[in-house]
Amino acid sequence: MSAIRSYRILLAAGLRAQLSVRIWEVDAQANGSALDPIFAAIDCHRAAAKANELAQRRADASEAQANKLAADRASDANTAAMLALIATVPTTAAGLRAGLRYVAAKGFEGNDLVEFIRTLLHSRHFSTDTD
Amino acid sequence: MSKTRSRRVFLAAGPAAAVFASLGAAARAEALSSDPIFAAITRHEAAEARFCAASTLTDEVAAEREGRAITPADEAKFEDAEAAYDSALDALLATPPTTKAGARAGLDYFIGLDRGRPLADFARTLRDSPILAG
Repeated sequence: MSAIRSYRILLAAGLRAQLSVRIWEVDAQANGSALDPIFAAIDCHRAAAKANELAQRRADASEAQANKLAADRASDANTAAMLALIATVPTTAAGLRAGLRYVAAKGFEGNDLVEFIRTLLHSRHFSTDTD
Repeated sequence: MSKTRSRRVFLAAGPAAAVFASLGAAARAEALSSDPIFAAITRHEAAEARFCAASTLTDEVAAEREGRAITPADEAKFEDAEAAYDSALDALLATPPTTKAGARAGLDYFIGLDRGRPLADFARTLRDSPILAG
């Protein structure tokens, strides 16, 4: 076997392996999302919060009426996404942990509820109990 | 565990006892005896009650209304109660629950302290997950 052919075979195998890992990750994510609506609710709120932040910044930077309207719409969308998230009960252990992690990440430092959730997430017993 | 002791431990759980409404007797007894979060919650509740009482003692408006002066002993009581409250809160925050009932009781307790905020509303939804039931 020539060196060039060996290289091509290795390259092809590497690409296949990389592709299969990616497909597995996508499958795992898809299964989780299908099983538990909390994942979609978190993604939706994360996107809405980011869009709202950008829209508010643009509105603050300019007096254009279009920017003010866009900021209002983004704020409404953010509120709707938050209300939807608040109403979504996790149905899997992974979903529950994702929800708790989201609270821990979003909550401000010094908030007792957030501190307790961090303790809960680091608890070995809690992971065992809920898995 | 004797019946008297079981009753004492159960009563000591205070408001956290609401969490047990949905649990069987065996699960209740096991959670109370094995999960340190319940004792930590009880300690914090007691420290909070002492702190509230001491705050009234050193409240200038309340003292004037009651026709008394705030004494150095009152101030000392307040400082002790404040330190005990902080210490009980730190201990509670550092106590990981070891049972599902304990996780729910802990979440309940802090949701109660943070009532009315979106974060607490979402935490309440998470507490209601069937994963933490039973």
